[in-house]
Amino acid sequence: MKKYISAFIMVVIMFVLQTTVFEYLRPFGVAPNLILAVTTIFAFMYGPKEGMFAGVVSGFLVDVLYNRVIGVSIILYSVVGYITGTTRNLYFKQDIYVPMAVLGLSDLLFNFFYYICYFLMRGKIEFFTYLKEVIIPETIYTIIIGTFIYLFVKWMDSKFHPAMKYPINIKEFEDNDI
Amino acid sequence: MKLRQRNNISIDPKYILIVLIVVCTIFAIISFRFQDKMVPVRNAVSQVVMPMQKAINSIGVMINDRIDYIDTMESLVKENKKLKSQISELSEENQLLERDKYELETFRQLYDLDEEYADYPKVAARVISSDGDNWYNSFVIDKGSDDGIKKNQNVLADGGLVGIVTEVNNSYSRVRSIIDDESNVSGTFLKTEDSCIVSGSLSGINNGSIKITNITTDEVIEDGDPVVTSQISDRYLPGILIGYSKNITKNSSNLTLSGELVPAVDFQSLDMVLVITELKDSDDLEDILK
Repeated sequence: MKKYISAFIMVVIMFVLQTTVFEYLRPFGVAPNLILAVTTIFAFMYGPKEGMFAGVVSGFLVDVLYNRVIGVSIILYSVVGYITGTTRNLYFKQDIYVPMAVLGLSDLLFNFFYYICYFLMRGKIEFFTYLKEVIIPETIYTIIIGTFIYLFVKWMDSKFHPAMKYPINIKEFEDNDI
Repeated sequence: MKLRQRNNISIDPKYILIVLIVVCTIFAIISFRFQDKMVPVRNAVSQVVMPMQKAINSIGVMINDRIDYIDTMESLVKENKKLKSQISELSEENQLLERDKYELETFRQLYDLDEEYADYPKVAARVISSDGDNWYNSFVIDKGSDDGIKKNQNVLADGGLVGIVTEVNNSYSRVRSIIDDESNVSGTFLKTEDSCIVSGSLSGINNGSIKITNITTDEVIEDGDPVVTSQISDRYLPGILIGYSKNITKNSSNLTLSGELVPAVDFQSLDMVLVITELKDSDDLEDILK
């Protein structure tokens, strides 16, 4: 339950940050997708269910506050959350490069879906222009900021779930196998 | 026990995702069909999120200001360099101007070119003939009554008094200069405001000076003190520079001083003159004198 609450709080905080502070920090003319980063991180660390939950919260906030139709972003974010959740097997506490790669892949994936849903459907077929102008810079930026969020969430996780003795560690190991 | 419970209710995330997608699709269609019905939901969420956004936004604005600050710093350094060189240029220029201004001020004081003096309406005229031999005692200018010239109008040149119009015709007029032997002008010393009479004299013409008499003062008058036309003159407008005093000495009567005056105008090279088309309003005075 702690995971869900922390996921919810993190998504809300990141949503607020993304729509305010990072609107001013646009070095390449793009803002980082922090809520996607949070969704990805929770999915990567805890699994598809947590990822989907974070995705639903993210998509709901985006849809309700910024989109005309409620539901499309929820689907996008939760699908990305689910897909990145399947990489949970690659989660090791010491590693930093794999989560970075996962962050990048999830952002590419999300933007690809986003392009299909919002641009291709309107007949905009210049995918490579968007790739160059929006997707690649946003991905790089999201990876950089997302890494810090990842480190923070990992630190938070270590506070909530302190390293335990063997029996429970085995249980965690079993959980990993699901 | 707890472990078992969790395992029991755990469902494959695949199915959750499928259900979620279906629900969301339906929800999307509904929200698209009934957009106005979604307004309360949007309002409720925004009421929670907006205050947070507002609060955090101030931080964003602050950060933005800071970035702007750094950005503008560079250009400011450049601008500062440019401005500094400009300052040195300008200060040099300013020094020159300051000197000019000082000069101008001293001249102004000297000439008493006050507003009244500057505001006189003037007509420029050319000297076309003279009946003097060395210096023009009286001469003819190419402007007459057609141009608004009237008798007793004052004539200036080089910022000093030249004379007075004595005869007007349609297209030309005659001017008697102040160095003419007949000419008498009541003047005032600018510094001490003592009155005097400036009269032309043939004897002084060769020395380049005319007579100045009837100075009633106790104060010391030095050489070079400017003399201007007096307020009490009935034909000459006040405050026009006549010339500079020279060799002022006490009379034998010990009551008045007299001496010489060097005219401000160079009468030898008189070419263009200015006629003030404003007459001194002395009708009342004339009435009294009658």
